[in-house]
Amino acid sequence: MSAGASESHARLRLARRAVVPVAVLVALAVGVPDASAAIYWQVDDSCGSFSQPYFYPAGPSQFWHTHSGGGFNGCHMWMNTVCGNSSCNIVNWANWYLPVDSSYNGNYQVWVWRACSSSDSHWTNDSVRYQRFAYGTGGGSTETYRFDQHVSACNQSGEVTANDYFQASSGGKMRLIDKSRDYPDPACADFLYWYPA
Amino acid sequence: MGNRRILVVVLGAVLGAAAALVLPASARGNVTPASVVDTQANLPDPVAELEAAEQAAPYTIHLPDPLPDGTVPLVVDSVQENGVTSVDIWWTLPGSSRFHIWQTNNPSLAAEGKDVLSSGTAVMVGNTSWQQTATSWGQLVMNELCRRFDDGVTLCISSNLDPPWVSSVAATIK
Repeated sequence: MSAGASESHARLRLARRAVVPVAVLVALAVGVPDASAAIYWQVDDSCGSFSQPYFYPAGPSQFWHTHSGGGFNGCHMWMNTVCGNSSCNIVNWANWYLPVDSSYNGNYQVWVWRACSSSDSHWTNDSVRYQRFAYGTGGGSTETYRFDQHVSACNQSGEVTANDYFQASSGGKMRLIDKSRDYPDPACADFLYWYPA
Repeated sequence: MGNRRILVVVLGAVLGAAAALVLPASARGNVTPASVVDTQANLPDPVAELEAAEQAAPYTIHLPDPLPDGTVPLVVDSVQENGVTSVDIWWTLPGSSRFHIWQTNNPSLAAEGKDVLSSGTAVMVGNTSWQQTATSWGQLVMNELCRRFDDGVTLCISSNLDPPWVSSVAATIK
């Protein structure tokens, strides 16, 4: 092999090796698209900033608090709880309204964000209650789910409902209430999303 | 030489884009949706919800009369449990401020650890004593006034506007 041919092969090998890093860089820059991202419907608490119309804390405002540092986008709201038995009544609650129009009625999984209690002391309640409103406010609560906000698999979302119907035309929503078996640990309200089942 | 460099970059870009399309979403780890897709949410009609709450509540719902200028109702929600009815209303105001009223016939707030009639400091609005608190919500401060009406209903009004504004609206609640 001539010196020129050898040099040419070396350049070719170098070029081949360069393709892979470039490809990786492009893939990272483009981002791996989430095929289902277009059909997620999400609502964040926005840390009580009034920046969106789909999340509302309810009850006396003095028992609602915000905390920066933990939670989706580095922030969350939390509320003081009351006892979980029949001697206590709901005082504070929060509503996440399904942010879609009536053409999206269907079955959804509902997932909520859980931060780590190791870095944020509010995420310790292992029995918060979410209520599903399949037909919106006027339709009443369809079911109540107990949900553990204190898990080792934290700083990610956990599934509250697996495959439940929401009629968006009637304003489907989810509600978090302050009654908890794990009273007085607080209940956190943060990022929630609906994922078509 | 220049052509080869271009070829490397183009080939890399094509492979990278292909990888981005082919790899499953799970390869990204946890799901973090990017944005609200549909901003035309079908929120419940607050007027209809208020009418429903008025029919369901065993008491007359207390409201400001008149409502502050520029007020637009956002959501109305109510909770019924064990004979207790709580009604919660949010309004928006010009400039993106909001105000909020919660009221209940719950007689056990103190026992439940949420006695709004003993927290904060007492202030007079007209001839009526209210309990005043201020709670930080991030960049906002929610100024709240609470009192019990003669019919036994406990009511709290709160807003990110200043205490004098909240007091001025509280004075109109009937």
